[in-house]
Amino acid sequence: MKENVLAALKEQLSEDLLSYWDAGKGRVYVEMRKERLLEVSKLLLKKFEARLVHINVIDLGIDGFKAVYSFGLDHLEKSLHINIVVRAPREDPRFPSLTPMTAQAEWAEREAMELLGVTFEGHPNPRRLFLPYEWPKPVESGWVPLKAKPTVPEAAVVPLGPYHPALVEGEYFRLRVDGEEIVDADLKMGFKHRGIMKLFEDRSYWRGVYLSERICGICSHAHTTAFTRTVEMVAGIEIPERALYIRSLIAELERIHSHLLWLGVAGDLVGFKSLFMWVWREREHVQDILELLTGNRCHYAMNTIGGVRRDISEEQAKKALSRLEDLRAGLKRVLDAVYDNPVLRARTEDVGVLKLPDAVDGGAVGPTARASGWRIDVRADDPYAAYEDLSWDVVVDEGKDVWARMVVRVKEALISADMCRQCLEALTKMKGEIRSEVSEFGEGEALGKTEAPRGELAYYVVSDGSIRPYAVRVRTPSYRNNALLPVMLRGYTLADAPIIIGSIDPCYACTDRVMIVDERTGRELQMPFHEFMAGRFKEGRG
Amino acid sequence: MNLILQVVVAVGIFLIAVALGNTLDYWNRKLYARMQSRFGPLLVMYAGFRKVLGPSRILQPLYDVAKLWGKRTIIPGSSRKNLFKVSPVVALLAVSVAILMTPVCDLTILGGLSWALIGLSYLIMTVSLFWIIGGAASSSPWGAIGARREAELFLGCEIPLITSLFSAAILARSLSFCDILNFQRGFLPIILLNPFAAFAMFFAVLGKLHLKPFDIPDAEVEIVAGPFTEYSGKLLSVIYFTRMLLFYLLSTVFVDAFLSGGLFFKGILYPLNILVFLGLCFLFVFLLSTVHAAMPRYRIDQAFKFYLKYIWPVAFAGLTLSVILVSTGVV
Repeated sequence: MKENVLAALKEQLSEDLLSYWDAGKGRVYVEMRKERLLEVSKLLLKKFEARLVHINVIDLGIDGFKAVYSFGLDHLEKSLHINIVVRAPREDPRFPSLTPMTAQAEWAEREAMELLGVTFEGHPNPRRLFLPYEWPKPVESGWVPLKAKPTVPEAAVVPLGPYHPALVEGEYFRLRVDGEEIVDADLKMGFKHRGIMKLFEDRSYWRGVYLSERICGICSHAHTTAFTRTVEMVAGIEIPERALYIRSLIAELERIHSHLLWLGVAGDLVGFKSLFMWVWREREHVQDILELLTGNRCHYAMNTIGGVRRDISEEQAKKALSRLEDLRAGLKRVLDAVYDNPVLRARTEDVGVLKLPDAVDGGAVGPTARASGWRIDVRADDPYAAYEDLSWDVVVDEGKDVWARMVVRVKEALISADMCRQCLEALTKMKGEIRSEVSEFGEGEALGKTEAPRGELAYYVVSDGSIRPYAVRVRTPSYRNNALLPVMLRGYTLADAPIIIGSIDPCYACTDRVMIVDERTGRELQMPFHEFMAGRFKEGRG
Repeated sequence: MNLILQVVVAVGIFLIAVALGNTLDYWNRKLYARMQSRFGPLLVMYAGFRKVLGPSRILQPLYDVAKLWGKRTIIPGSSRKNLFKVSPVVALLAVSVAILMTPVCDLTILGGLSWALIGLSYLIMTVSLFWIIGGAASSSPWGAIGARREAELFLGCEIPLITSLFSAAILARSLSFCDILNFQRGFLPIILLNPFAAFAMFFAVLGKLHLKPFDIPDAEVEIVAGPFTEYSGKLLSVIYFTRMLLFYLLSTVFVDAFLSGGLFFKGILYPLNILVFLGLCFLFVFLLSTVHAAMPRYRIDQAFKFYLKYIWPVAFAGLTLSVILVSTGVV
């Protein structure tokens, strides 16, 4: 496969291919002229069925900008990634846009446009992604309306939000509804964009581990594993086997806790408060195991560059194994009680259907993709930690609806429990170091991925040889799945919206605001935030 | 003299309704929590609260009402203010009058009227109607959507409720609640004669009380609190109080109409009837909260279909059964 792709690229590009090198572990870099980017992308996406993992744009100072298009072929051949490198001068930072070709590029390009100031020519929807739409002129420009104009000019304005009880975290959905049916949906991100990718550049690699842990409270270990894995690939560090097993163990425990958390929340979203309480009760077993092994319930701080920070004793392993049995028994009890609940089935079956072509084109990842029948899992496709040595299988479901996503996550949690058992048993048998020495970092860059509970998590780290990374780019799984939400929401009712939004296990740190536009009257039930605030202040003073 | 006695009885019934409504609501909350294995805060209750709530927090539902009464009432500027303010009060009045029509162990003042059952049906309807009006008047989109859902649910559950009540009335050959009680006292509880009507009534009550799977009008994660979203302070307090009384009212109506009001003993053993009545009320609430705990929430169209497909036919079967029983002279 690798040879085929390279041969095709060489044939297509001839002298426009500037250089290429194999960085090992399936990562191939191809540097080329940006004029030919579109046809090369078309070749990779259409002929070789590659996925576009992310577009990492890096500011090289006076050298201009470098864009690394990471194409993943790992679902076809183990670990194979083609990184297309193109450059643009500082004076004219323009790249061709891939969005008309694939929806996977849309958010990555919008992000690069607003964070780095480059331009992607031909982007059909170059709105702001993280910054407010009206930035940098908040008052003068007012609110940028939806793509389609309301049919009636006069708009009744009602403030909604900034809170909505469906989601603990915030995100702003605009749902255009006709009665109760959702006709169109749009979403706005970035209410709490914290610029963590920039913060990485001010910290040493070791402190970066803690920073990456704070990107997400639920999949904190997946983030540190991805970051350390990428840094270790840059620096060429080999990790002791025992550390690999510990990494896998914590990652799987985290997956169980995340999936159970989600199952509870999903229950709550269809009004099943009891499921929420029961599942969270069982989840305490995992939390206790994590606390026993790492000392913490959420931010485990287990990973470090070159290995892990704590060893797991035989006694701990024994206790954890017995608690895993409790978990399995408890979970079985809960699942037996709710599996055949007719109302739960009625609320989740044939709701929020994501068809396989949509999933592939939008680049769905993780359980969302697997529930649409797409067999992708980083643990199997691009193995890291100890996953190659464990016996397990990727869970795929053909249901494509919310119920299928529920089933996939429950099955994964059970499989993860089994993988934890395997890891713990292996750890009691093996001895050895848990950390390898790290001497120095050379120049280089790498793409590292892990399978977070929500899906494929990609890090891209560029090193200039110093103790700090030159640039770090993070592509979280929800970044992809969130972009697919409008597709899933269309055609279902307002009552289904919470569970459909919830079904991808969304993870965003921002303020939730929902806007409803009545299709028949065109009444906009939304007010610009500053106007809302202004009204508030006036009322407060008066 | 007679008038004074009637006023005293009316006040007495109302006090019983408040006390029992509070207890049943508390019982429902407690059971629901226990079924979800929630154990409450680990800390011991703050000593100051113990005086107010009682050692087991049994006064919590009433305390909620009292607490809200002390909060500021905010009226949305864009709402239809008069309708918004009046509708919860009308709903409370309706449920209060309905309570006087429902006998508690033979204690009643309006239950003996020859049209008591018709009045009761209208009053129960009025509660839902004014909640719908209040939600629609609140100018909040959640209120509007909630009111719409309430109206749809109202259509779904009102017909089985009334049909099954009237099935009982047909058996007793009277629209007076006291006659229905007397009929059962001399014969059998109607639930044994006509289980279909009792079954339909149970599901209608689930919808009326917004218990799962029919808590659609105030589905929290979907539409915040539905018709009650914009209510706060004293008006919300009135709504809470109304819901508490409605809980009592519908439990009592069920026990009276189908379980002979707990009046199984005569003569010297008559006081035991009070215990039986309480026990039956608690049993009814136990069944309600079991369903409440074991079910997620239907979507409104699914809920309406459920009523139409299963509960309406059962209710009409109950009505037919009553007619057959009466016309063939079995009862």
